[in-house]
Amino acid sequence: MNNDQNPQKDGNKDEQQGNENNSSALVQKLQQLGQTNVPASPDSNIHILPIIGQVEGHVQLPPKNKTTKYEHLLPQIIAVEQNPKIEGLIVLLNTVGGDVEAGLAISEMIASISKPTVSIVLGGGHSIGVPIAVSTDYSFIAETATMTIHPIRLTGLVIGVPQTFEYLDKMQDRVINFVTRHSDIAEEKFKELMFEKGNLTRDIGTNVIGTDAVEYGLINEVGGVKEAMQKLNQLIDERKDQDGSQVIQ
Amino acid sequence: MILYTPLNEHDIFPTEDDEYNNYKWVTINNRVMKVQDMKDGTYEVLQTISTDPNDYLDEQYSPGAKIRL
Repeated sequence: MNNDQNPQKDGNKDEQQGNENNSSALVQKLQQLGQTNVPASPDSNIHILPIIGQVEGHVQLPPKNKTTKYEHLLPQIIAVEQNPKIEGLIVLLNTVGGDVEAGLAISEMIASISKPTVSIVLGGGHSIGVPIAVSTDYSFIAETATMTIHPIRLTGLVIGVPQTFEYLDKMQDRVINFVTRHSDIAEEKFKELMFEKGNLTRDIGTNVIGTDAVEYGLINEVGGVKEAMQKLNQLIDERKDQDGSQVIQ
Repeated sequence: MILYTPLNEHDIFPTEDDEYNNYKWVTINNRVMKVQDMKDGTYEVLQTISTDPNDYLDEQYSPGAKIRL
C-alpha cells in the first residue's frame, strides 16, 4: 500500500540503500584482502587438494586446531575423478601428521585416481604426511621442507596389553608397505630412518630435509610450485597423447 | 604450572562444548566453508575447502567475509 502512495520516495530510499551496500561491500573487501579487486580467472583444469594442519581422524579435534578432515577430502577426490573438465590434481602438503587410518584412506584415494597427480611438500609433511606425499604420480619437496619419519604410537598413552602393541605394529607395516610401494625408497632404508636413534632429541626417528628426502628416494625431486605445475602439465599432455593414440588404433 | 603425565592436554583441560557450537561447516556454491557464529545473525568465513583454485579467489566468500545463512 505504502509503495503505491509514494513510489518516488521509496525509489530514492532504495537507491540510497544500494549506495550504502556498495560502500560497505567495498570496505569489507578491503578488510578481507587488502585490495578491492580480484582478477577473474578462467576455469582451471588443474585442481588442488590442500592437506594442512592435523589429519583429523574419527574424533573431532577442538576448534583451535587446524585440521584436514577426511569426510571433506574423500568426496572431493571422487569429484575430481569424475569431472571431465579436471585434468590434473596437485596435492599441497603442510601437515604435522595425524590419524593413521584417515591418512591412509586419503593416500589410497589419491594413489587410485586415474588422472595425473603431483604433490608438493611445503614446510612439513610429517608422519602420516609421508604416505600422502608419495601417493601421487610424482612428488616434489621444497628445499627447506622437512618430513619426520617415526614409529606409529598412541599419543602419550601407555600400551597395556601385548595385542595393542601387535595391532600398532601391523598398522605400522601398512604405512611402511604403502610408502615403499609408492616411492623408490627401500623398505630397509625406510625402517632404518624410522627407528634411527640420536637424530631427534629424546625420540626415535629421523627428520628428513628436502634434498635428503630425494636422495633416499622418498620424494622424486626438489622443487616448488613452478616445477610442480610444469611436471603436472607434462603428465597431462602425455596422458592426452596416450588417449589419442588409443583412439587411432 | 608444569604437568608431568602421560595424558593428553585435552584430557586434562577438556574443550568447552560452547567452543564447538560457535563453529559450523556449511556448503555454499559447491564449496565447504568453516564459519564462525558472530552472534548477530551473521557468520564470518574462516576457511574454505575446495579443490577449485578459483574458489579461493571469490571475494564474496573469502576469509573474513560476513555472510548470512
